Amino acid sequence: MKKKVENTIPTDEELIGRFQDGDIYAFEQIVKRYKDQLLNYAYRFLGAIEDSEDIVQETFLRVFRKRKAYRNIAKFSTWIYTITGNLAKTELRRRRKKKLFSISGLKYNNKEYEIPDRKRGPDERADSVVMDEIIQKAIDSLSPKFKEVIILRDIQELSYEEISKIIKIPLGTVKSRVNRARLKLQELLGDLFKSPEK
Amino acid sequence: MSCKEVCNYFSAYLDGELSETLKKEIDVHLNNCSHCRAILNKTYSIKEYMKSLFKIKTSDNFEVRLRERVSQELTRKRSFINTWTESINCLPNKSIIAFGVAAIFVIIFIIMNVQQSNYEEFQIKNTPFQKEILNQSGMGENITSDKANEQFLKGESILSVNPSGVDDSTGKAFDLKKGEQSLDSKVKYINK
Repeated sequence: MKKKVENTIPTDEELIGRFQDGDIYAFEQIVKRYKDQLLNYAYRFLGAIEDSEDIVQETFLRVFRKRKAYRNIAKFSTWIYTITGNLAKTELRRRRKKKLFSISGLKYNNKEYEIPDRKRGPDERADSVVMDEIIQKAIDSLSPKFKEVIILRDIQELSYEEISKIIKIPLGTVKSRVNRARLKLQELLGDLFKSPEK
Repeated sequence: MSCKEVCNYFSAYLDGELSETLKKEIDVHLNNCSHCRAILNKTYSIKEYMKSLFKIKTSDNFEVRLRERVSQELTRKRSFINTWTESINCLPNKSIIAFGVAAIFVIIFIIMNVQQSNYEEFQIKNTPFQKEILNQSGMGENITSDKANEQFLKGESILSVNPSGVDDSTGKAFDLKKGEQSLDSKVKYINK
């Protein structure tokens, strides 16, 4: 009788455990699993791809150095998102100090766009890129505390509980910040989105 | 419910986190307020659009770069250990290290001895006899309530402590800090 081979995917916690025991291959798997989602998180935070990639590199280096510091009481994703978030916030502060960043007020009055359907032709795709840029600018204009919750909730689609653990604030505060961030984005971008009714 | 209050519940409303009662209350408001309805609809559209924002990918050489940085890290660690080992090996005479280690042991031994003698002194100071001397010289605590001392005082009631604190035989002051020496002096004084 043939033995059934179970092809189960290891959890993050199993991978970091193996890495803590010296399995470098487990570290490589962690990198493959998280590199893109962390890059998107950092990118939505900073708005610059190169800087974001540096942040993600630094995140993995820290995971490598501090692997023994991780305890299996928290989810690994929470731990790694916290590292990236902290690095991104530090980078934002550094930028602000250097005054490299200037955000002008965003308001797109007297214009009405349809939400582009990404599955359409090249023109619509171009619209979609423009729309993404506009949304990114609106996200950039939020203060860091609103920015981080809205990225984690509406782009990364994490649960409120996990967000609360990542940024170490009470659950109620996360919910109220998400609400305020959504309303703020609505103020900034509402003119671009048609209300379904008239 | 006012428009401002309703706005506070928009996220919970969109995430389906409201109680039935509260949801009904908000629905009633939305049915009658086109302004709030429009805000809610736009908020919902933006929230949904955010999910489909384009996803960027790391550059092709991301993992190669990371691997290089990790190996640099490891090399740096190794070179630190090597430098440390080499610097020890480069010392002119290894006996200097042996001497240094021995000196550390001697220092630790001396420190431990000093601590031990302090402890013994403390113990001697706290014997009823010594306390009595300390009391007489005004340096000790009031120990009259101490049962042990009462017994001592009863047993030694015919003896009195030289109030001057001076050993008549030698003319020297009782050294209260050196317990044994003081006790000897005291015995001499009593025997006299």
